[in-house]
This record gives sequence, structure tokens and C-alpha cells, in this order.
Amino acid sequence: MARVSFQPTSPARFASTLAKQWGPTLGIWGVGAGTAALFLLSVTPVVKKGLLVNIPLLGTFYEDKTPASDKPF
Amino acid sequence: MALANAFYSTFAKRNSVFVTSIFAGAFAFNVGFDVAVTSFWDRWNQGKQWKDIRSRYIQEESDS
Repeated sequence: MARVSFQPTSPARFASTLAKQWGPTLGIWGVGAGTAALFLLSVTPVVKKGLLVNIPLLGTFYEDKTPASDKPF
Repeated sequence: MALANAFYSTFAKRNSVFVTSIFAGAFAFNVGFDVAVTSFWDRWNQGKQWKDIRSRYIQEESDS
């Protein structure tokens, strides 16, 4: 039976290995979380008027096209 | 079979990519479907909605 032994590593090397292995994955999860938040909050006026309207192509979908005279308030 | 493999290797292999693509797809479908159905509705009902006929009734662009 082979013996597996733990090779001690320095904290700096451990941290850099951890970052190299999990960095990209956490980055993609961050993009995913951001996309999910943007999608789920796209109905709120804060996100809609503050962010989405300003995006070049997507903004035309979210901007309010009803003329002012047609609004009751 | 090849399609399944292609789908797996580009989308489903990493769960982070899979979940992100689901949300991104939902966002894109939301906008795309709405635009498609709205433009069809407007074309099917051309001339019948207020936005088509309002020019006949609105005197000038600035209301008195």
C-alpha cells in the first residue's frame, strides 16, 4: 500500500495556489451573480432609469416612450 | 450526440458557467420575446391603437 504524506507548504505558496485554482471560478460566479441581480432588479425604477436606459442598444427597450400628455400623473 | 457533447463542454461542464448562462439567457429572452411579441401585436393591430390615431386628435405638441 502506498503511503501518502502531507507536504507542508508556506502560507504564501498555499494562498497563491488557492488563488490560481479558484480565482477564475470565483470570477465567473461573480459575473453570474451580477447578471442575476441585474435581471431580477431590472423591474425597479432605480436600476431601470439609473443603469439600463443608459446602455446603448438595450436602453431603447427600457426607456419610457409614452408621450407626456398621455400620462395620467 | 455531438450536439450534446458541444453543449456540455461549452455550458454544463462548469457550474459557474451554467448558472451564468441561464441568467443571461433569461435576460436576453425577456427582452427578445417582449420586442418580438410587441412588434407583432402592433403590426397585427395597425391603425387601431391610440398611438396610431393620436395625431388626429392632439392639437399641437404643447398642450394649452
